[in-house]
Amino acid sequence: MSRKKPSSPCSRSPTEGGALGLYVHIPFCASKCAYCDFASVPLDDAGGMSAARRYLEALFIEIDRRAVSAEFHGAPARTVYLGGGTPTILPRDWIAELLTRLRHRFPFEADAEISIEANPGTVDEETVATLLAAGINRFSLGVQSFSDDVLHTLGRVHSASEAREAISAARTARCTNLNLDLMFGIPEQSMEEWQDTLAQAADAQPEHVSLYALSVEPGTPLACGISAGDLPPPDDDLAAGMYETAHDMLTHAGFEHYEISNFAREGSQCRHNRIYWADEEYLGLGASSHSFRNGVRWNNCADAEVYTEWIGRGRLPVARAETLSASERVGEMLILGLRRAEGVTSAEIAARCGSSPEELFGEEIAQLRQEGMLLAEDGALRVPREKWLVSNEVLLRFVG
Amino acid sequence: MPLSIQQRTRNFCIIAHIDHGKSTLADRILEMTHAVGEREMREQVLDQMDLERERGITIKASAIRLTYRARDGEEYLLNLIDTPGHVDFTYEVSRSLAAAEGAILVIDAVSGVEAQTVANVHLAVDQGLELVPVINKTDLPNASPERAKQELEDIIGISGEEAVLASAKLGDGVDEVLETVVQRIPPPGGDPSAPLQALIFDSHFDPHRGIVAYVRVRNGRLAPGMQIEMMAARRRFEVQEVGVFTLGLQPVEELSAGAVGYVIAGIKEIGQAPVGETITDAASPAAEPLPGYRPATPMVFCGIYPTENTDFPLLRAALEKLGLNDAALTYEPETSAALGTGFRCGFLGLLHMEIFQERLEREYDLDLVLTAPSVVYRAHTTDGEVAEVDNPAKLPGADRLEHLEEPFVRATIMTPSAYVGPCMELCQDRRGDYESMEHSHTDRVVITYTLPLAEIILDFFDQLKSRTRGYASLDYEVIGYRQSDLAKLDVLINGDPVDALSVITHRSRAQQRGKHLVKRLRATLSRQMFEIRLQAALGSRIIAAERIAPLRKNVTAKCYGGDVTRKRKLLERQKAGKKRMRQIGNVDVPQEAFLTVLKIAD
Repeated sequence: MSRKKPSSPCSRSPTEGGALGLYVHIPFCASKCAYCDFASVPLDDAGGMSAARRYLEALFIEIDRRAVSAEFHGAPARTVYLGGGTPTILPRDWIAELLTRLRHRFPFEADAEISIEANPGTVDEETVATLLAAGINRFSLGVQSFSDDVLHTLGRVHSASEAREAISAARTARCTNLNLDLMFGIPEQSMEEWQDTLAQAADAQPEHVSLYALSVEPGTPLACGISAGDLPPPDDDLAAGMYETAHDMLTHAGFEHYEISNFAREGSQCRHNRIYWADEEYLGLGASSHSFRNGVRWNNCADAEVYTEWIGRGRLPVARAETLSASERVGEMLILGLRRAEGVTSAEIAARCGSSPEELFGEEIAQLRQEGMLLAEDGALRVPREKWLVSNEVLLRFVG
Repeated sequence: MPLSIQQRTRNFCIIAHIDHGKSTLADRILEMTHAVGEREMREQVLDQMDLERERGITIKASAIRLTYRARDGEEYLLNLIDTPGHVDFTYEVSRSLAAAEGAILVIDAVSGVEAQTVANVHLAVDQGLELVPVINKTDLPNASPERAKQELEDIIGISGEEAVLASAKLGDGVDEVLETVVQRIPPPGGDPSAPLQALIFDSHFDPHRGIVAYVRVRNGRLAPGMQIEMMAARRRFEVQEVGVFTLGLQPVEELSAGAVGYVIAGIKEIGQAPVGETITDAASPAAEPLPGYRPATPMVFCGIYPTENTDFPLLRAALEKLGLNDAALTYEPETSAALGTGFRCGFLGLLHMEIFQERLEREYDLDLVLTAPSVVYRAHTTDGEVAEVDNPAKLPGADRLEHLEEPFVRATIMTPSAYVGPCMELCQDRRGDYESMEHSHTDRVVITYTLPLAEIILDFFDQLKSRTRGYASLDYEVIGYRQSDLAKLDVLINGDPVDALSVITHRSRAQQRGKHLVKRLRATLSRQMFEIRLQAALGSRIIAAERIAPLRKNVTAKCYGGDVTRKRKLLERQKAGKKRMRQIGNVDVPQEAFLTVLKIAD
């Protein structure tokens, strides 16, 4: 293994070494979207399918090797998240096989949340039913928009009507925990279009909604289109307005805005993502996945073929690992915890890191409170709701 | 009787307008005289700085000694001195010329006689130099040597018949050039037995040996062990080594009248052996120093500040080191309310300034803020005093100011006749006064204007090039100070004046200039958590304003497991970027904002 055990850089908390969030990356899609800079591979022919199978076999090996290693041996899974890419592009029996493998190696807690990302056009009622039977209990649909024009700009392969069909298929198959992903701040997207998308999303009555502001990543077709002048660059003011509109419409529809980009009905917050924001431990499996255990963060190599090859040669696919110092760890807990509506408590941080935020960032905290960017109430630090969209200004103070 | 060394010596420069192929011709001459082996040969040997090679321009003059067997069977010693071709470095040309008896005048067969061709010819003729015109680049398909010859006659007054046709790139005609140098340029005069007179025409600093002074011996002899005296500064040194320029330095036993070479004499600072100084023998001094020549006068001044105030000592050390090799640079510490402690530096022109900035950043790894360049104004105060103002922030207050003067130049523009209109429009637009216009038998027109120097150092040259599709060329000389109706334009950020952004401008242009300034400034600032107001003011009167709305969104919406490290790195980068900016009040101002005043047209 290419990394060392941490030499206890910060005191180890009681929560460490316990239950895990498991993330499994499936880097395959029907085709690449215009804005995507993720590690995903278009899966459009038989050659692609056999590469996907080789990848799955490599994944099984990583699962086995991690499960028998000292730091993960016997660790139960509190949540499982199959992300991508588009995991549902794989044959259903492969997904069932993967879940069986995971459950065998990392015993799932009785109420474990088991999510899968799915794109409209890749799921029908039968698929949903099969996956539910295989153990999946939460579906996250990459709807993005209910406007065909916007979907076209994004280079998505599905249509708005396919999105509606996927939602009703999930419901008919009795999926009881459904998330819709929506995007805003897209070139040429109008406020009216966004309001319509939000209204349709609310009408569909999902348990959860995630909102992403489009970020234009260099090198993507979208970025090229913008620099060539074919598309206008995203308008930050309009995007800010869209965000506020979403807050108003979704809270009015009964959702709680519990994290900068996430809304949920009571009892339906995403438990897997809460693990990240609480800086708890997770194991990422597959290409480009990230892990955090015993104070060490690491990530696997991004490329699926490289991943498969490294595993095939008997090495772990770790591309980089870092052991966080106590102050980096405090900084990260703030960066993550302040994304949540409830913020983060000093006690929580001190217990995990051995130092409290006040000890390390006392001056910054006082300054931010004075600027009205940070609130300290009942032992918790939090960013007031109306400042969430400019919270980078707060988070900046807690790095390097 | 065999010819003496002095009779077999030829000292000459190569002068040309920029890009006419001077350095390429020098390279071919080096190859043909075997001064450089094939192995050492790389493009443009004499351009030693990386920057010179990258930009394709010669900045510093440099010299080399060659041996050439001429058709008469004699072996000649040729001292070749390469010179810069850009108008900023005219003084470098003038000091090189003082070491020579002749000059090869390179003219591009495609573009013909240009403004610096003429300027350099004037310098050479003033020094009494013999000219060898060479029409270069005859290999190019659109070459027109006949037209170049015609321009040589019309504009410069040299018979076109005298010109040698060459293609330095292919090596054609280079042998003929060398023959002509030997035949037409006279051997150096001077008496080896007379008292020593040697002119310093350049120098460089060697960290181990001190100043290496480049000299031309006019009379007498210079040898190791001699006590020498700098005739103007009256300082004495003992000569440790003399030598000639090969690809490196090659020690010789002595340099005598007519020789070009170097002297090392334990000289520590460039100021102790300035260019133009005459060296004599302390034991039997010459009666008179040699006539000095046009000293370098800085024309353009700007403030140079470290982005981090703690880097000030590093900046000082870098300036001291670069100053050792750059006789034209001046620098003095100054303080700005906005920028902290830095230096006010004087340069020959904008190119000199840019090159210097690049060297500071590249060779010394410094993050710098440069203020907009300014000329030196003369402020006449009500109490009858005259103050030289090289920094707009230091202009006396309106209550004490009687009037202002600014430096003017005579600008010579050479252009194909089709572009006469645009050239004149540009000059009028920049407060120019028309002087004259001359036509040649070819299509070339020479236009002369007087213009304020301040208008030239802005974007005049870029504008001239863009309005004439690159065909016009420019040369200028400073002709003195004249009174102008000038005013100081201040820039306020959220109500606070920023001294480093002040500019002096003609009153009739203030309104327009102020508008452009705040508009451009607006484009360089990022939105911040609060509203930013930008204003331009003449005294207490606001003449232009812009506002920047507060930032509404800066968060990257999603952040999950995989993104934590990336997110932290991103924040760290943003924070580092912020650190590189200057805080004025509570507004983060990036480096480039201080140069926004440079560009006056969009």
